[in-house]
Amino acid sequence: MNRSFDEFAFAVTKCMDRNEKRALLTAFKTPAGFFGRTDKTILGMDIIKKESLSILREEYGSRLMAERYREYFSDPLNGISFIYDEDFPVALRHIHNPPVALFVSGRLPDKKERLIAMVGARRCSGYGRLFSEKIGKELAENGFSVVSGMAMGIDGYSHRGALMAGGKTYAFLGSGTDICYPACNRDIYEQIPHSGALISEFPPGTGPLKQNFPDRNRLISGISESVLVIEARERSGSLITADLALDQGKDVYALPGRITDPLSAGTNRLIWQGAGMIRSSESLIMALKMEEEPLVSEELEQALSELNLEKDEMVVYSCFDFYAKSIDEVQKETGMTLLMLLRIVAALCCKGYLKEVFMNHYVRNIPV
Amino acid sequence: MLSQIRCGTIRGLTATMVTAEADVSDGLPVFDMVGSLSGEVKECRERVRTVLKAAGFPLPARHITVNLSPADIRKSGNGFDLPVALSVLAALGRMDPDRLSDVFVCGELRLSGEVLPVKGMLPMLLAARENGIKKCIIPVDNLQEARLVPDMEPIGVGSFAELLEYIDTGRVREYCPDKDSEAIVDDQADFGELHGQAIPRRACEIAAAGMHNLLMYGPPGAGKSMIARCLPSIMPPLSDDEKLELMKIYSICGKFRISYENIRRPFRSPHHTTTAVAMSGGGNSLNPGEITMAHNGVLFLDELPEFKREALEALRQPLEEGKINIVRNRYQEEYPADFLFVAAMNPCRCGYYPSERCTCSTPSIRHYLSKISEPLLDRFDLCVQTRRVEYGELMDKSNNESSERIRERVLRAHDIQRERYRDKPYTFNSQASSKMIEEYCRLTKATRECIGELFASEELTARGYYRILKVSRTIADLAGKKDVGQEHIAEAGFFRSLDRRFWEVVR
Repeated sequence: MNRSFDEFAFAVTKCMDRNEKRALLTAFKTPAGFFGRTDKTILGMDIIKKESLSILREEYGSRLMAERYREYFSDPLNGISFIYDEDFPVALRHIHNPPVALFVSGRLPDKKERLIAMVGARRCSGYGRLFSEKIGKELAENGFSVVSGMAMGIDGYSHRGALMAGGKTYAFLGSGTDICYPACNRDIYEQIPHSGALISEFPPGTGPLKQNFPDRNRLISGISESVLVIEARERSGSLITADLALDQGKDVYALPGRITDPLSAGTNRLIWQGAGMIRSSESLIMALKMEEEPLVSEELEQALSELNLEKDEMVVYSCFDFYAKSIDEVQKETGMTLLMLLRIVAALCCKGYLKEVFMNHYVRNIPV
Repeated sequence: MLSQIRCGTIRGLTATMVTAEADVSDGLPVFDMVGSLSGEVKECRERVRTVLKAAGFPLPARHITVNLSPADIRKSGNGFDLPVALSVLAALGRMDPDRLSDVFVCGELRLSGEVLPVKGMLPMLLAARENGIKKCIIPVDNLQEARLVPDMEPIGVGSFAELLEYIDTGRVREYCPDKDSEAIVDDQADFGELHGQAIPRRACEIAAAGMHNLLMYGPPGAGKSMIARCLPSIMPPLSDDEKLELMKIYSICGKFRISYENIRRPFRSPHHTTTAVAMSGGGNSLNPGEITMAHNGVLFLDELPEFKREALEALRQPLEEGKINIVRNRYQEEYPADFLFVAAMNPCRCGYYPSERCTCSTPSIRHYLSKISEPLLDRFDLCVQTRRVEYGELMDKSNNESSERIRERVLRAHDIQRERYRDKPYTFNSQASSKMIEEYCRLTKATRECIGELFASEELTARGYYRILKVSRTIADLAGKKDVGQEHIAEAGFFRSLDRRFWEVVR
């Protein structure tokens, strides 16, 4: 998918905002059509100012722009999709203030693909981590594609879940696609272009600026048919995305939590307001497939009884939670000797039922 | 006529003998002082002139030269007033030059003739004694220190007039020891006053038993500072050598009111704004730093991540070697700095990580810990979490074991270690070399397997492995066991040191 220099320069420039670019495209059809006109014709349309145009012309002729063009397309995975293009996601054409062009590293979703957005807290609990990974994985196994923002926490785990199942996943970034932010997600940043795409409205070289993220959020909810909120505090960014999704007419689902957990306060509120409740990953998938939901989910019950654990291990496992709990608290509860407890905990870690999240603090885990 | 008086100057924690010589001869009327002098020593000229005039010996209009020998050593300190005054007196013929040839003289003068105490008297007197001097004339306030020097007859003078009286008649005014200085309030915290906190208590016991550095973390108000203050109370009483070493340090710092009998294990808790120089020692006129003041005791750094990075990095060499070498452009000195390092910190800025009450963002948590470098984190053998005490624990005093009982166990563990390392240059498990500690632990096959089992899920580094062995050796010593058993390993594993990777789990 090679793009002309005109198109690249038009998409990259910061001399015009989104509205101006859109108006210009309506008037001149393509970037080539725009750059080919004389200044007089362009200014006659009264869309952009004279100063902007002269800066744009200067940029267009600069060596830097040529260099950026060559560099961006030196990676065969990179591409640009304009709003008038065939492969431009249809859903995004119809949102309020649609993007003019998307920078893509990888392949944009197919028309037939069903896209589900997953959003949530950056600092999530073991519970959120576990279920974002699990739901992401099961969505992918059932042929859905996971859309998220590649942020720390829920976003990253959702992508990982989908990648684990070999499914497609799309990450909308708040920076240029050439910048890996946050750095700790380097692993998925490198994998996603090969099974999905990194997508950004911002030209390459743009840093992860604070003001970019609300714009990015509207794309995540805009491209997807449903939005799942896994964990969110009250008044958090994830709730804003959920509100946005409702405005765009999307379905919103939320994972419930205990009323004492601050990280579930936001999702519980969403359910109270009428969002769909994620009672289990299978019921969610049935709902998404418009099938009858099973009345009772036996998923977790099964999981517990199916655990292949000794009696002592069971006792210790049941003391732990999806929130970090320390060894000495559990020792107080069980009354075991430290040696015995540490041994059981070590065994549980080996089997993958517990995970150490901090020195002597463990959370429950479900072995993958 | 030439006269000579013996005096001294401080270098680090030791003193060098200096001779004050004066000569009065014909020539331009000048009072000249030579011999590589620092500012305060040069000023001594004016004080001596005034005091001598007041005592009835106005300086004649002749050429007076005072030399402080040897000339290549820089003289600093406030103790040169008396020796210079006496050497000038002798040079003027007012006093027999041989009268004080075997006496050490030191003291500062005020214009009124009053004699003020001098910093670093104890090291100077010890140096004098080594040089065969058995008598000293010193300020009254320094008499306490003189009593620590064996075979030395101190003559305390309160004013220049008393000094003259002694020279003329040999009479000495009797000074009774200052009663105030004896009555030091016993402010040492005791574990008996601490409620609950069973696990941090145990960590302190192990730390004191094997001299393992301890890091405490926990939410605000969980008693971290209180626990640290209790630590000196479970360490063994100071030996005579340790006391003398401490007295020397106090002497240099000008703490004249601490008496030998009342000396305690130091507990230093510098504020987190402390600079690297204040921590390590140094400065314009060389001063011992906090680490030297904490010698033979506990150095407690509260809010560890708030400390300046340079101040923390300055601790690394002393933690390894038990001393610090300070090199500045004019001097190179060595101060002792052998202390138990105890630090406290919150796990994050709000203090509640990893519980769900924590409101910090991941970058903020990472930033908070990144202030402590990996090498410094490596110096902590033990790490423990403190918790807020619950109401039930406040009421239940049955578990509040007193420091005295804990100290007994610590002392036993020290005896075992002293016996084990009797032909080694070190005394404690924490100092043992990695190579040897495996041998001392006498691990059985089953215990070895247990280690593999307990730490299978972590990437245990070689350093981490030996640290766990050292701590388990101490735990076994506390229990009086010859071999390190599985339960000791397990406990050491529980107290294992904090690892940066715990902060990186969140992503």
